Amino acid sequence: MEGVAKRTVEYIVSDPFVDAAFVSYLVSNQEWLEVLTTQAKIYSEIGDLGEHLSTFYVYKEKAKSYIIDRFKGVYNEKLLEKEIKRIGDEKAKRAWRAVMTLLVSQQLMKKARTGLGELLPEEYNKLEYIVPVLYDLIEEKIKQKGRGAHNAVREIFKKYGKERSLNLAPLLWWINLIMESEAFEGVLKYHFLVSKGLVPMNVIERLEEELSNIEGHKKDLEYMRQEFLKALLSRCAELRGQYINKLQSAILFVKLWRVSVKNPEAWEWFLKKEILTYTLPIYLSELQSLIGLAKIKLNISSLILPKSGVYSGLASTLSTLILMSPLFMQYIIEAQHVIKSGGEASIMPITPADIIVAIARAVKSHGETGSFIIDVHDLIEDIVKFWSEKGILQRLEDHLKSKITPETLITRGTFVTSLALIINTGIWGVYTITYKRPEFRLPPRMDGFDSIYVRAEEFLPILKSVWG
Amino acid sequence: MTSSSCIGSFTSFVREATGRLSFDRLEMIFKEALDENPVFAEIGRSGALGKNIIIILGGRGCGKTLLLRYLKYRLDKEGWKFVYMNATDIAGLSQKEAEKEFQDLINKHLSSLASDLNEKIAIAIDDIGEKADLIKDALKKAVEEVRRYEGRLKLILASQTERPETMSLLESILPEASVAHMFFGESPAQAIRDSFTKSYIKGIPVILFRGAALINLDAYWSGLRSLNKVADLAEIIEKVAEFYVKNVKNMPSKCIGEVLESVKRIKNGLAFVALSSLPKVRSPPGDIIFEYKGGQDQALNGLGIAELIYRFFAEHNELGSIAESAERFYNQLKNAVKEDINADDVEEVLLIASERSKLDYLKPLRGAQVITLLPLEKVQQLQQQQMKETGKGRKRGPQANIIEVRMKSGGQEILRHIILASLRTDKRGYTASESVRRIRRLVSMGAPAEAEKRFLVVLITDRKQLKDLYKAVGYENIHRIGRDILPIYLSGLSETEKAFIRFAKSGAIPKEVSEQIYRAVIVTLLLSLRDDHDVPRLAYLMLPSVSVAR
Repeated sequence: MEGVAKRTVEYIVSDPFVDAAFVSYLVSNQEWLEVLTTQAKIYSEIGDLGEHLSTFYVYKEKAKSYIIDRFKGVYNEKLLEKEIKRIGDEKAKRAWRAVMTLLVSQQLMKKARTGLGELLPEEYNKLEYIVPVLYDLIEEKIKQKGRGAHNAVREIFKKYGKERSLNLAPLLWWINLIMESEAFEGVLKYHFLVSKGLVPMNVIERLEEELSNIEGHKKDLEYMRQEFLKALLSRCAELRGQYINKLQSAILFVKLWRVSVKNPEAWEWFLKKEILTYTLPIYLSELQSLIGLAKIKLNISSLILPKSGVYSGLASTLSTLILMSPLFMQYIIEAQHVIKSGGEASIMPITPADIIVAIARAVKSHGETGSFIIDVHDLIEDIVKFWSEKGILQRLEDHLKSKITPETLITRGTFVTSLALIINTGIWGVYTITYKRPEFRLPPRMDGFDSIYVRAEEFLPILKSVWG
Repeated sequence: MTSSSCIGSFTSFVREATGRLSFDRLEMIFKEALDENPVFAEIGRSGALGKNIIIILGGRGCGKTLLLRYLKYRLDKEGWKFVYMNATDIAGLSQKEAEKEFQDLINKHLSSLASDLNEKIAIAIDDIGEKADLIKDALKKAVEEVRRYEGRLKLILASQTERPETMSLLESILPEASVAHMFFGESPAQAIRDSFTKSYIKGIPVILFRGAALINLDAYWSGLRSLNKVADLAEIIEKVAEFYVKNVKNMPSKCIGEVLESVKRIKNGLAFVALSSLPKVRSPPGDIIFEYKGGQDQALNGLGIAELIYRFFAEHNELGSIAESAERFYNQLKNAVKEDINADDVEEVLLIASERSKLDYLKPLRGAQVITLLPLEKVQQLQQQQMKETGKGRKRGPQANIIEVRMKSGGQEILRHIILASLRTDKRGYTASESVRRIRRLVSMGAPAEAEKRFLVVLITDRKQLKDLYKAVGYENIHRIGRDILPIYLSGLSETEKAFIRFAKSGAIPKEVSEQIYRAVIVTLLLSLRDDHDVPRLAYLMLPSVSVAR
């Protein structure tokens, strides 16, 4: 081993290729996949993730040996064995949950009979599609010891081309988000702070001003700002002096598998313009504050935790829709980028989470009991207002190169599809109604409506059960 | 005509009629006594024919095309022009071509509706399930046209239950028509699906919606799948025989009388034999039961009964002796002393019947170690856990009677295990704590697991005991009741069925009809043993599946 650097390229715990191997091993076994598919249906009906199943136990045990065997060429074998023994159970559990919830999201779209091909690519519905991709990624990573993770990802991304990569993106994002939920929790914390406008720009300016008084210092406010934000991200992600690229490795697929970003390895865009991981903490924190949760929970794991009680199935459905929403938004941006470069966006994303937030805000103002009717125009106006308050609007306008107004969202937004996902998956308390004239059509039946009828005492307990 | 030539003419006719005949041929050979056919009579009485959209569903051999022939006869009398088409005629066409062909046909008739206000047209599309996806847009449009020409345009759609496209027709194509709510009410997809799913298990052959009717031909027969209804079924067999014999050309009335007399003599026995056929479960999704006449299998439907009558005359010696023996057994059963039974009796009979019915997909495992159903890795984990908790290892855990169901459906093997347990009551009527503990143990060791196709069936005497089942499974598992923990009540069993259970348990079943009788045990009991939502869940698990590839 002489001459070979002892420091591992990626630490095993947060290596997304190890994550990918856990997932690919699970989904490539047809028998296990059948069990998972049935369990996914059970999860969306009664909230049970099936971690008591024998299949899960057998998978967990076998996966550990598989991972050791697969990665012994790139990691120190003893260290690998030790680490997999330590973290293998948890990783297997995450992989199980990632695949399960992925299947749930597919089943929900199938049940709603809408969304695929618009909010997500048609390929999202085919889990078998991801197996060779994960295999390619792992192969690329392990074919050479010391190969950088980002190089492996870029290589495969390049090999597949923009269009195929775009179609694969949501699947990879989903897996990455759930497998590395802790790393993402740090990222979400960072975006949460930014969205609250708590980053003290005047302090940064003052510091740079102060530094410019020192001879030889070249004033660069933007540089200072970026480093400050990076430091903030490092703190949120608990990097404790480690390189920020270590974080990049953990969130590899979410950060690098982007069609719309020219140089995804860079941090600047991620710190200032990111959408996917930026919107998620906003949705979570807003909904949690609306239902009166004492402390904000930004952990993705807690969002998909097994639910119990009367609303367990509906709460599982709702939490899946919330988690899918940032993916919808990001995918639409990416798809616009591939379809046309330059010019105005033809589709503007409104996600189920946007609608859920808007309804929850309306419930707050109307009272937690009883029912009320909201005009769709008012609802969309509230969504735009919410985006504007939270900084989503500006980022979306930058990405879509279009001015976003309630009017543009009414003509080009994905409102009806997202609403159909909520209504057709059986979430109680949200119904369409025609008050004046049927201006909108709800797929798949294309029933006309112009307003939403909300029954607060039906809707709110489901939302509360998401974290209850 | 001699006696043998009477029978010969009759059997030739039945043989031809039970073959795959075109609509035209059926129309030609069935001209008499259409109103006397018991199935048609019930549908005629139901009010379904007055609706503007009529959906006819049923498994293979249920008589959809024959029913269309009857509808033509009835609608002709009411001044409707009946147009028949078979969706398989558009096979080989592209979606665009098929849509156009269908649209042209509709348009042709619409123009005559527009020009003549007295014109009334009923368009019947047979085997629509096979091509529904291909012409879905034209079908939705046709529904809108029915609304437009309400009262003068009728759309009749016939489809095989087992075809996956049938559900697509019911759940998406028809409900997605913009005026679907005018025919099926609010939430049309849900309304159609729920009605269809329940029709068989509730024995409701005709479901009327606002402007449409759903005729589930299998549900007509399911209403007769009960030991209490053997006499009714026997009457219907006789009427079916009468319907056939009256349609034989130039049949002298003496011959008709002779045929009917032969059937009448042994009709209860024939009914018993008919009951020994097995309904099927549609797979996936598995929550629809229907009658299906496939290959040599018998079925309790139009074709199945006709074939039974044919066999009775053509192979009289063989079927005749079975039917006679079954007739004698039925008389014994009818006169049996009333006596109560308990959960153990039902469990025992399910095991005996699984074995003696000679259904090779069912295998009873008596007193099996439940732990053997789990993978080795899981067993080791359970043993380690036990070692930690009690200091004792290698204990094999509880035993139970298990029924293994292993069958092939759609090229895939289905393997499921049904673990039988019961909530026993003591002398004072309280649930025995030992049976509660046993169920708790089975649940905690992971014996039932829906996704892994292991189900714990808990036989319960009384509905009041459900709370004891809640106690047994624990709060955290209550939501699994109705999924992989199935409470099955004995309270739905009739006196005849209870007598049947005692007979079967004591082994007092005539050997020559043992296979038929035990099959009838399985079928009737499975449909009578229901859960707390009155759904025969055990039937879904134990009846054979049929899946037809797209």
